[in-house]
Parts: sequence; structure tokens; C-alpha cells
Amino acid sequence: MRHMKLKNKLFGLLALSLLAVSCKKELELKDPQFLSPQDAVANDANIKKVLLGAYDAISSGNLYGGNLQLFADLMGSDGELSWVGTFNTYREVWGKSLLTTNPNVSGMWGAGYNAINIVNSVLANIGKVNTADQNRVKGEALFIRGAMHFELVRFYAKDYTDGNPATNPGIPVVKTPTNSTDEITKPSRNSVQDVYNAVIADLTEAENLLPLENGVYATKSAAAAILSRVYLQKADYAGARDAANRGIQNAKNKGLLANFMDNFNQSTNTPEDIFAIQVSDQDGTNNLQLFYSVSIFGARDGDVEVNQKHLNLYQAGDERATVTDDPDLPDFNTAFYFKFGAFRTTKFRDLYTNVKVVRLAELYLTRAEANYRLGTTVGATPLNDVNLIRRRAGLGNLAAITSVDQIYLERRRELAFEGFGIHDAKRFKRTIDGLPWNDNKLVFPIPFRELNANSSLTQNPGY
Amino acid sequence: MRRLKLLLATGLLFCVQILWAQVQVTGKVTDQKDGSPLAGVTVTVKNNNRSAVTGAEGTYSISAPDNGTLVFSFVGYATLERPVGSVVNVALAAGENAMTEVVVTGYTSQTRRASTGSIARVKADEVRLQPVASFEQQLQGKSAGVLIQSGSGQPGSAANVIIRGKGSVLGSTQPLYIVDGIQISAADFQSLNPSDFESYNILKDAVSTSQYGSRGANGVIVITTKKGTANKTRLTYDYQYGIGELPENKLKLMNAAEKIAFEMSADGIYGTNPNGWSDEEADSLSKVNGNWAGAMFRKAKTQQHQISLTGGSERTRFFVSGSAFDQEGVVTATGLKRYTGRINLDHSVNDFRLGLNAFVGSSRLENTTESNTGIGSPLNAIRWHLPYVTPYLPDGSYNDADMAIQGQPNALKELLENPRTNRQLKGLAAFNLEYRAPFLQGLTAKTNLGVDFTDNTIQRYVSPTTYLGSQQTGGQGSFAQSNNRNRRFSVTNSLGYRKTTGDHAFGINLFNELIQNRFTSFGFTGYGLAGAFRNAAGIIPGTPTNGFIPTVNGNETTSALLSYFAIGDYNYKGKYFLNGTVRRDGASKLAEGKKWTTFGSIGGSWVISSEDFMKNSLFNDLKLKVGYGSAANSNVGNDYEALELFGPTSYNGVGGLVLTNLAKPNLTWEIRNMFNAGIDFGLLKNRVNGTFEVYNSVTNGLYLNRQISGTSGTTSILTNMGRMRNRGIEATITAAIFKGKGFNWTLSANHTYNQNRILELDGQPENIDGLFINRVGESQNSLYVVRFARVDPQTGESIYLTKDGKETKTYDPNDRVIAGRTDPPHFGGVTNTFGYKGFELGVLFTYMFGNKVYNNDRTNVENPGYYYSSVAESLQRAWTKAGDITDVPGLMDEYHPETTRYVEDGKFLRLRNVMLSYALPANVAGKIKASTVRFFIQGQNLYTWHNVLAYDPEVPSGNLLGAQYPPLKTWTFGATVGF
Repeated sequence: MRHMKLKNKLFGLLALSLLAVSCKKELELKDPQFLSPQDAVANDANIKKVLLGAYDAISSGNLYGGNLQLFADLMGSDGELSWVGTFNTYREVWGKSLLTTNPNVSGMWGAGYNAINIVNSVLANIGKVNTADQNRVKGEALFIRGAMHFELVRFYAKDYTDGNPATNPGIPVVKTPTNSTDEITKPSRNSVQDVYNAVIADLTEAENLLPLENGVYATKSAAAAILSRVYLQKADYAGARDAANRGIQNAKNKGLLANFMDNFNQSTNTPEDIFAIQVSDQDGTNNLQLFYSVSIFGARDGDVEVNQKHLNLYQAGDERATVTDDPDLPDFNTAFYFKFGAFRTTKFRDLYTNVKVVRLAELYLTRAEANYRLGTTVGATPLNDVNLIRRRAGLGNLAAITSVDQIYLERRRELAFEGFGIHDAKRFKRTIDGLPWNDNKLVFPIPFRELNANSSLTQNPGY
Repeated sequence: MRRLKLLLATGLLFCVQILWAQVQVTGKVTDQKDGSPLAGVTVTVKNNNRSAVTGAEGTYSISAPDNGTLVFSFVGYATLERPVGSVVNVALAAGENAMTEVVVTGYTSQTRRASTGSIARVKADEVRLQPVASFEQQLQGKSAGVLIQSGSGQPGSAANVIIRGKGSVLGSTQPLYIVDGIQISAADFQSLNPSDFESYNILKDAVSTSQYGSRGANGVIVITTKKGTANKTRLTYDYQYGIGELPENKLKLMNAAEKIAFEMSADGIYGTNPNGWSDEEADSLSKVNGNWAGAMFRKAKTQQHQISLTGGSERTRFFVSGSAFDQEGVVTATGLKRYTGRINLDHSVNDFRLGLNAFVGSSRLENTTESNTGIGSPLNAIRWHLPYVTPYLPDGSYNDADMAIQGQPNALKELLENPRTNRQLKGLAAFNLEYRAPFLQGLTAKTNLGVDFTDNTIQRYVSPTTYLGSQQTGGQGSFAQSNNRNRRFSVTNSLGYRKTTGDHAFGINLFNELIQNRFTSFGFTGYGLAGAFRNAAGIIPGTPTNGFIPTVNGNETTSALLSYFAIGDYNYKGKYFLNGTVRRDGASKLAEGKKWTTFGSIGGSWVISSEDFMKNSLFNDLKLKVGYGSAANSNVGNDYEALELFGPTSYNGVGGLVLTNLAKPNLTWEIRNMFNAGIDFGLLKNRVNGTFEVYNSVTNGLYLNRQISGTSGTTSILTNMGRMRNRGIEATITAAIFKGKGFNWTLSANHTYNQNRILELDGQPENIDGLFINRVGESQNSLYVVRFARVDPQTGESIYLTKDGKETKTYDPNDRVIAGRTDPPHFGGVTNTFGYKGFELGVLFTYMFGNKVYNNDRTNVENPGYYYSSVAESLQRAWTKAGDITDVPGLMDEYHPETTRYVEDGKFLRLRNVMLSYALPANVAGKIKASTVRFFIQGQNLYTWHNVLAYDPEVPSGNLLGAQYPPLKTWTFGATVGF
């Protein structure tokens, strides 16, 4: 019996030792490829990497990677462009027949706020950035936040000058980051005026904080340039003039290129680029190339065609209107080519090239327009600024400017397909494809999924 | 705690030391079939509460009154009684009726009589000859409650298996697969050899699945492999050869003559004659027969050799097998080759029994892309090619004309020049050690160590001459190779005690288990393939100027599950049974503070047929059972889903960080609470057997992507936010309809009705995701589209119905309504088996009805915007002039495919399998020294009655995207010879 008991105990011990797989640390696993927030926004180096992630976010095809520009021109095409591609969701933008479920419409909204959320994380942790770099990092974050709120309010709300901006609903202004499910909110739409005020505050502070030169990232001049667009859109011409003027003066080591077409199909920034999205064969999206160019250049099938109506805008001898039948010529340097039965712009012909956000030429034209409207000559006379752009295009000087429409026409020629279409058309109160400038169809709907997920939002009229 | 239980058990033993004068009986229990010793047989003294259990050598020792009777009982064997003597050796015969069948849950095994849960069992030999590489495809139509949808006929592709309805919307709905006690991944079935399998045990309700805790919610398929038998060594050889072909295509496209006539008269957005043919061109093109299907599809051969050897002595037994499997795909250049080997060994020594089941499989799969909408996918391209363009030019080179006409790359060129190869090496090994305590009968300790190892090498060559090649970085093709490895290690320790005293019998098993998984991958893509090589040797080294800089990628992810659990059973007089399980799981995937979850179940059954009042009844078996319990679905999201994570990104060639996952501190498992009740019966001396069951299972904490305000920077997040119910009825019946001298006929049928309902979405009425909606009170992932009413005869415009049912010409997504459920509520299978002398004919039909399919494939060939491209025959009916009454709108009508026009009825009846076999009479077989010789001819998927405009109606997702690779219609011939 004694023997048995001993054996029993031994066996019990054996069994217990077998059952000893209980180390709790087996369950404390960390993802080797990802950082937790404690690490990601903990120090200078990582916060700067998060900021870089914000640039990546605004380079999305939904944003400056192409759709912000493409949609402005498709919606404002007025017969100058045709969408012939098979993607219905893009066709809806061109046809002004947007459905609230259009995935590109919800994609742009989501991508915009995604970028805003990232920079809000950076701003919330700005104190951890090295003192020497704090101004720059904060300035870049504010630049992105201001630019994104501005782009969204232009598409998703009535124009500033349409009715009362203090009561017209704009978009939600978001200034705090969401990092956990506990922090999710359902903000309502701020008024158009509130959004513009927030945008102006962000961009003004950004302009103050940013350096003159900053590689391919945001600079003082870039912030001023976007600010000039904001003022122009709200018809604050003095603000637009001064911001454009500062943008020109602070554009360090920048200048107009001698040859207009040298601006395009570049995989590095040119001296004329105030701000551009970097695209290389390794990284980045260029939706303008994807949809304006054709399959032989690695794009889709030429979804956007340029119509004769657009070519009629140009005068004889304009280098911005040259057309070739043979885009394969090695010294090819024309503004348009004819391929697959239609005219195509050459601006976005090649794969893996940067996407323009602001070129210096825009600032001259903005300064000219604002000076002309105010009867001032801050920086230069309107005539000088306009002629600077005309001479570069191989055209003769104008003798005088007798109407703001002359400056607008120059703007349409110079900045064609670069994202000004519908926004400028609203400023000049033009009728677009038979619709008055303030027609409900010229405003994007608030995406269906956003209304569904956020009960505080209201839909735009007409949807 | 555990030690305490052990001591209690020990105490029990001392309590039953009885002080009568006794005879000490010893003896040995063996299997009547092969003479191998049977361990674990319970030996009791009749009308007494004394018992013993046989040891590893089958021996026992018990003291009993000399006029007493010994009762020998063992799961799966008929119970035997013998009078007491000094030495009593018995041979037990394996039981034959449904009640004595052994069901295996992976951790334990029971007779069906003792089981209180819902477990379907399929003998592997019944289905193993079906010509599919992935074993679960063979189970289609074989058991109630188990929906198996083939989905794809690509060699080696796994089926979609759903047990008792989808319990999850976002998480996996696939069951857990266990082979010899260790978990395996469904993705690797292509490398396993189904001929090694002995049985499939499909655990359907919580009484059985709660043993698997956080992994069990979708049901469990437990596979046992063949064991060696102690006797003379036996050799079996199988051979089969088959031919497969494509089923009928119901989505008819215009032929060349029809298409040219259509183009010349059509009035679409580009006017008539969109491709600009001259009259001469049109005339000659209309005579061309492109015959893309002829060039792309073939009759596909399947060949299989399989050899197995079993034998051993009383102490050591083995099963060894090898197989070679070679299946061509019906799409040219696709196919699967597989070689496997297995050795199962077990050995008994003293009180120990140890075993090793080891398997290695190697496969090579050449596939093509499927289920997508890309123009580079050959299976889409054959639908989209103009019928008057041929695949090849007269000189035999590829014809790229369609690229110039409509931008459609040559499907044959894309397929043949861009090979896609997956090589897999699969290893499975389970080592087990069992110890039966000689000092305390009924006490055992077990350890099971298992490794599931998978190594994949995936190669993709993209030729610079193809369209896909032009889309690669640098525009000159690419070569990509990725290697990934998954290693799952598991260790299960258990301590069990089983005891019978008088009318009471109980067993308790305590377990501790750890499962660790580690996945690593690394891959590269090189660009610029200029040379003659179709592999890494052809890559042009990248420079900053040539644009061929290669990309690399890699991943690593780990998870762990630590568990403690107990499984117990009790019965009184072998008539009243109780089973219970409690399991506590700790998972690395969940957030701190939420890691541990407890699961449990309880089940009871009453064998009514054993009651005295049933003595003269019609029923020879009748059992009532009921059970309730819980299990969870851990298969959702990634391994670190609960953590806030910043992942890598890059901009301007510089690395950055991006928030990829919001912290989810409250994330828990989806827990499925399941109720099951049923009757098992046998009538007329088991000529008719059957089971009726009802179940009600509710998933709590349903995972859904909560749509959150985009202003949060994220648009949706995985959340436990709902409740969903599956309730249903299952019926299975097997009847020997005719049992004659030479002829017999057996019918076996099963039917399942499953009703799926979303009960709650965390306060929201619905969650819409593209074509699908999850709405409270409706079936999950119901189709959500606008109703298409008719075509306006005056204008040719589409007329839709508004939400209120009024006709409108304006398409408005706000008018979407639920247009049907995507998961089938009714499905089943019917098998008829006829035997005459050596001949046997088996015919299996499977069916399903009540579900709808959205045919996205059809939307692409009925889109009037593509009227210059290949289109469906139906466009010939398109409206052209006022007064036309038709169901196809005019070509200028604004096209909105997300309507009921593309919702089709998913019902079907399939002649799944027909097998005629003939076994040579034993005396004839004996002449060639064979014990068995059997020949067979088999037809698989011979015909399917259905109305889906596609090759095949089975679309597990409910949305037939395109590029369908349908299950094949196959004839096979074969022979089995046993020596």
C-alpha cells in the first residue's frame, strides 16, 4: 500500500509537470511589422515619419494624386472635354449626374479626412519634436490640414459667394485626432464661412512657420499659394493678391521655365513647381496620366478626350496649343497629340511623373486678376504679369487689359486640365453645360455612406 | 486543483475495495477481426459495481465471485458476456449498427449511443474515389447541415464549407479542420491525400464543438487517418484515369455573323458601325469563327496511383501509403501534380502506447486567375474577345488585333506566356504517447505533439510580350517569386479517469493545450525581362534610369492560444447519458484584459429503446438528445487586430509611418450559443435508420465593419456589434428498400433547412456594403439593388420601381430593396445504391434552392456601352424603335447594372456522382492471389439543372464576379486490387 501511494504521488507529479504549459507570456505577442502608438508618436524621428505618411495620404489618387484636379475639370468641362471611358463613376462627374453612392465621391471625402487625421496626430504630439524643427513640422501639418479642408469645402458645399456663407453648410472642421474606437465622433457640418476661416487660420500660420526652402515638401510659398486660392474663391481679392504676391516673392530659387512644355512629364520638380506630388516608378499615383493618357504610354484607353472647343480657346502661334499626329517623335514637344480618334493633352502623357499642385505661373495670373479687379499694382501691373505668361507661350504682348475676362482666358489656356475648371467657372459665374454656376448639380453630394454613418450630417440640396 | 481531483479519484478506488471471497480472473481482450489487443475495454462484474480496464496489451485482471458473469464493453464493439473462470480471453467484434458506430471529436471518442451532440460521420472509403484533389469537395451532399459549395473547378481548389448556416458575416465561416488531433489549414488541402483518411466526423453543435472553444463556432471536421492492423501484411493498389470537360455555358454570346450584323445596325453612343468596318471587311469578318473557347479549353485528363500497405504484430502496427495524382485543368496550361507519402505507426510496451503519424505531400499547381473582372484574366478575355477575331494568325503567332480594335489583350497569349506556378511542401506530424496507470484502473495520461508545416513557393512570370507585361513597372514584364512558410505547433496534455460502478459509469478528462502559429513570407519582383529566361535569370538589373528597380516584400505574423479544459461524461444503466465541457481559452489576438474567455456545453440523451416498455416496439433503436453550449470564431482580422498600429508607408522614396489600425480595446470573440435537439432511430431491425434534428444558434458579438464617420480618418472598423441567428431542421434517413438474395437497394437522403436572420446591429437598422445589405430581421448579406420593372416601349428606357413600388425612369440608389438572400436555405443530397452480385451502382444527386445570385459576369456583356466589344446574344433583343416590346433597353439607355435585372435564381439539381463498380468473385480473384479485385466507372457532375446564366450555379459569395472556372464534368475509370 505504501509503495502504491508513493507511485501515485510520482505519477501525479509527472502528470502535473506535463500540464505545465502555462507561461502567460505566450499570449503577449507584438506585431513585428508595426509600431504601437507609444512608439510611433513618441519621438522626433517617428513623428516626422508620421508626417511623411500624411504626404503619402494627400498623394492618394482620390486627392492630389489626380482626382481633385481631374474632377474639377470634368465637372467644369463645358464641352471642352469628354469622358468616353467605361468607368460610370467618373462619367457621372463629367455628366453632372452624381449618385450619392458614387465611390469616388466617398473616396475623396474619406481620403481627405484621413490626411487631416494624420496631421492632427502630428499636431497633438508637436511638443515631442526637436525644438529646432518644431516650426517646420507644425507648418507642414497645418498646410496639409488647411489645404484638405479647402479642397473638400470647394467640392462638397455651395460656393462661398453663393448665398450666405455664414448659414450655408460647409463640411465638418476636424482638429483632433482619432486613434482609438473610443475617440470616434459624429461632427456636424460647419458653415462655409467657418470652414474658410479655419482654412485661412491654418494656412496663415503655416505660411508664417514654414521655411523658404524645404525640398519637395511644403514651403512658405506653397502655403501662400494655396491661401491665394482660398481668398480668390471667396472673392477677397486683396487677400488673394497679397498672398499670391508673397508666394511669388518667397519662391526661393524658383522661376518660370523658358519652355512651357518643359513643365510636364517630369519625375523631379522643376524650378516652376511651387508644390507637386512626387511620383516615381517605385511609388505614387498619377491619376491624370492614367485617365488623360493612352494605352501606348501605359495608361488606360484614353478615357478623357479633348474636344475642338477647347483648342478653339487658343490663338495662332500659342505653344500651349501645338498638336502633333505622331506623339512618338523623339523631340516631341507639342501640347496635344492626336491618337485613337481624339485629341489628347500631352501634359500628363508619361508614366511615373509628378502631379502638379501649384506652378508659379498660377501665382502671376492670380496676382494679375486680383490687382486688375482692385485697380492696384501690388508686385507688378496686371499687364506685365499676363504678358510674362503670354511671352513664355510664344505669344506677343497684349497692349492693354480691358476686361478681367482676358485674364481668365489666359488662365484657362495656361492652367488647362490642372484642376481649375469648375472652381474658376463658379468664380466667373459661367454657365456650365447648360447649368447655372450655382446649380445644385455642380456641388458634390455628401456621400451616402457618410450620412449613414454620421447622423449629424445633412445632405446637399438636389440629392 | 488538479492534484486534488487526482487524490479524490484515488480515494474512490480505496472505497471500493470489497471484502468478499473472490476468484482472481485474468485474461486478454482482442479484436475479432485481426487479433490485435484492445486497450481500454471496460470489464465489469455483472450486478456488481466492480470493474477493470484492459491495459495496452489488452490484458486485465479482476476479482469476481466464482459464479459471476463478466461483461466486456468497449466503444465501437458489441458488448459480450462471459462466465467467470480463472482465465477468460475474449475477442470482441466491431459493432455494426448505427448506435455502436464510433464518433470522434478529436479529444475524445464515443459510440453514437453515448454521444449527446450532433455529429455526422462519413466513411472516407465511400467518397475517396471522387476525382477531386481537395477532399472536402467529396463530402458534398453526404450529410445534413453541411453545405459544401464547389465554387471553382480549378485543380486543387478548396470548397466553401458551411456547417449549419453562416455564423459570421466578416469572419471566416469555414469550419476548423483537425487531422489526428492537430489543426490544419484549409488552404493546403491540395497537398493532402484523401485516400489516407479513415473517417470524417463533422461536429455540428456546441456539445461537440465547445471542446474547441474559441475555434469551434463554425463547426469542426475531425479526420482520422488509417491505422495499421495486426495480421498478415496487406497491400492495396488503386489506379484511376479520368477525362474532365467544361459544363454547358448558359451565357450565350453573339457569334461573328450575329455580331457584325448587330454592329452594322446598332445605334449606340458611337453610332452605327462603331469599329468602322468597310462593307468588304464586315462581310469577311462575319464568316470568321474566332472559337476562343475551343483554343482555351480542353478535355482534361486525371490520373492517380495509390498504394498502401498495412500490417504488424500485436505490439507494433503500421500503415504506409504513397500516392501520385496528376490532374489537368480544363483551362489549357493549368493543372495539379501531387505526390504524397504517409506512415502511421503505433507500438505498445508495458503500460505505454506510443504512436507517430507522419505525412508529407508535395504539389505543383499551375493556375490561372479567376473570380475577378480584370481584362488580363484569360477567363474573362474569352468572353470579351470579338467573335470575329481569331486567337492565332495564320502563321501560328498570337493575333493581337483585338488590342488594336478594343484594347482587349489576347487571352491565349496572356494565359500561355504568363505562367503562374505554386509549389507546396506540406508536412504533418503527430506524435502521441499514452500511459495507462497499472495501479489505478481507468487512469490514463496522454500527450499529443503536433506540427503542421507548409512551405509555399509562388512564381509568377509575366512576359514582356503580353498586356500584363506592359502594365509592369518599366513596361517589360516581370518575374516574381515569393516564399512563405507557416508552422503551427501544438501540444495537448491530458489526464483521464474512467470508472464504472454498478449502474453508474463516468469519465473525466482534463486538458491543457498550447497552439502557436508563425507565418513568415518573403518575396521579390524583378522587372525588365528581356532575355530568353522565364525565371529570375531573365531579370535586367535595375538602375535609377532604366526603371527596373526590383521590389521586395515580406511579412511575419504570430499568434498563440493557451487553453485549459475539462470534458466529462456520465451514464446510468447505459440508457441515460450526460456530457459536459468547460474550456477556458487565452488568446494573444485579443486586447489586454479581454484575453481570456470561457466556453462550455452540456448535453443529455435518453436511449428509449433500451427501456423495458419498448421491448416489442417497431424501433430497435430510439434515442432522444438535447444539448446547449457555446463556441467562438477566432478567425477574423489579423493577429494584432486589437492593437493600435502604425505601419510602414513611403513617399518620395522615403519611409514613413501611417496609422493602419485603430485600437480596439473592447474587441472580443464572436460567440455562438447553440441549442440542439434530436432523435436517432432505427426501425425494422435497422433496415431504416435516421436522425431528425433541430437547432437554434445565435451569434453574439457579431463582427461587422461599423461604418464610422469618415471625419475620423477611417471609414469603417471591425466591431462586435450585432447578433445573428441560424435556426434549422435537418433530416437524414437511410433505408434498405430492398434486400434480396442477389439484389439490394439502399436509399440515403438528407435535407437541411436553415434560416439565417440578423437580430441586432448595435442599434443601427442596417449596414450596407456595395451590393449587399445586413439588415435587422433579414438574412445576412442579402442582395440590395433597385428593382428593374420593364422597358418603355416608346423610348427604350429602363423603368425602375421606387421604394414604394411606383414606376420611375430615374435610377436612384435610395430605391434599393432587398432582392433575395445569397445563402441557400434549402439543400441536401440523395444517394441510391443498387447491388447485384458483384455489381454496385451508386447515384448521388445534390440540390439547393431558395437563394439568389447576382450575375456581374453578365453585366459586362450586356452593357450597351460595350456594344463595340463582344456582347451577349440578348442584346439582339434590345429596343430599337417605338413600339418594341422587349426586356432589353435600348443601347442609348443609361446603364445601371445594380438592379434586379441581374439577380438570378440560384437553385439547382446536380447529378453529382454516379459510380458503377464490379468486384470479382473471391474464387476468381484468388486465382491471381488477390483478395479483392474491383473495377469501377464513375461520372462526376454529369448534369446540372439550373437557370443561372453561367457555366455553373454555385457561387458561394452570391456575386458571380466574372472569370468563372466551373467545376468539371468528369468521367473516370479505375481498378482496386488488394493482396
